[in-house]
Amino acid sequence: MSKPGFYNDNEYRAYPFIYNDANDNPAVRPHPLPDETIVDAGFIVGLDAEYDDATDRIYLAQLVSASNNLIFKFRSTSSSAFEVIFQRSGNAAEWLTEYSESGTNDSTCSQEPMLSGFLVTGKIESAVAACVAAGGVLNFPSNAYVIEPARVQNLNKSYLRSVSVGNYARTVIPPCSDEEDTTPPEEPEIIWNAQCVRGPIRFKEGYNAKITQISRSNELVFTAQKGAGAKPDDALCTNYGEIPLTEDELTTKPIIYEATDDKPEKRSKFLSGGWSCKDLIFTINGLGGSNVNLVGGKNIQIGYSDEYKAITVKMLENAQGQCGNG
Amino acid sequence: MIFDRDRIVEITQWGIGTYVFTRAATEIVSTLFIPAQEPGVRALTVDGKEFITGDVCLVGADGVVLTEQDGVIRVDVVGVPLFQRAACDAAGKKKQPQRFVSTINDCGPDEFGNFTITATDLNIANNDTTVLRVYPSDFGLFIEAAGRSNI
Repeated sequence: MSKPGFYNDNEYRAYPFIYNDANDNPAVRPHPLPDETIVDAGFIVGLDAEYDDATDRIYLAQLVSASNNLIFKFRSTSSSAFEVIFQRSGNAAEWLTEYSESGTNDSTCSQEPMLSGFLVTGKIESAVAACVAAGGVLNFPSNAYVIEPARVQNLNKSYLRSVSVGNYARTVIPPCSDEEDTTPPEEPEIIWNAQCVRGPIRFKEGYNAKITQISRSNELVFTAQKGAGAKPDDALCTNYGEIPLTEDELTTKPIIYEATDDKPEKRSKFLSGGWSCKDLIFTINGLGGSNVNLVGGKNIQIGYSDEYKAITVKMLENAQGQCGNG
Repeated sequence: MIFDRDRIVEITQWGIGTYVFTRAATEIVSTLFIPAQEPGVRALTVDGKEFITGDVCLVGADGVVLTEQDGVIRVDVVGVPLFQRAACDAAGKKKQPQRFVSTINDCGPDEFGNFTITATDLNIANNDTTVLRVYPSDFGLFIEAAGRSNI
């Protein structure tokens, strides 16, 4: 606890602000803030504030007198704009301490304020008079009343707050189409599995994964090794070696071809889509490759109907079939 | 650290050299220490690169799947079945889906992926008398009818 004389001393010096002789110059500051108004203050800059100790500062930005109240607004010069507001009644007693905080930022995992702090005021009558004389509002530039750096605790980049876990969306085969798809590939989206996990976190080896902890050097080493970690189980076999990223993925597997009048749509049994090897014709009468020619031999004409997407095999009209020895 | 403009002049007059102070002479008062609790992990580094703090995202990619349950992050390495397509996507190139033959006249292959076309007529009891011949050759699958042609 501060000595009783500490606040008394501060009524006669710039503390908790950095001394700025321009504030004593009536030409520059016609309505200066009396030293006795604020006798102590301290601020904690949150993790999300992007506050740089080397270049940023907390400063008194505005003093507002309204309805016998005095409102102090402190701001930061960092790129994230935020503000802490303190309020005093015009007849508030000396050494009144108030704690206040700004809002949080828009990040998903943010729970802490961007800026929080306390303010201890001394005699505020002179400040109210100065504010009224200035029309009720006193605006100060960012270099006028700057809080002592020692009174600012910066938590930027100071700790690891949360861990979010997700995976890039899997690569899937689009349905076959007669029209060539010319749209450029999109950036893969992240499918979140868990967000803003806090508290103790453990890593667990899954399929083909090996995790080594080296306590001496505070290292975790993740290695892919066939057969390491969890053994293949029914869950892996059921999904043909793939791991669903969402529960919906199991019921909305990629479409192989759309439904037509003749047949219903066909969905892949794989999460990444495509055909199963067992569903495809690899050889015809033992002939394989990417293309198998059907050759019309003697008395046979082989054609193709583009309309029906069909191969036609017909015997030539002038052929004379001969049984036996030909 | 903030210096008094007048007092710092006195120090500059000490002359060049190293000056050692005792603890009693220049001990920092305790009010200037702001202890921060360090109950857990303060930062991550990957291969000794810069510290990662704040809200960290762990994202599985290229066949690594991460799942979280009750504070336990499971790491599975299952690979990417469509690795060629994934490589094309990563390179910003479009890869058209390949077309495969799965059925002919709604009939699929046997367990070995082979589709057999036979020259038989199930309507004839002794069906080895058909004139139709189907046989593979170096040029493809030949389909012909035995007999003479008037051409």
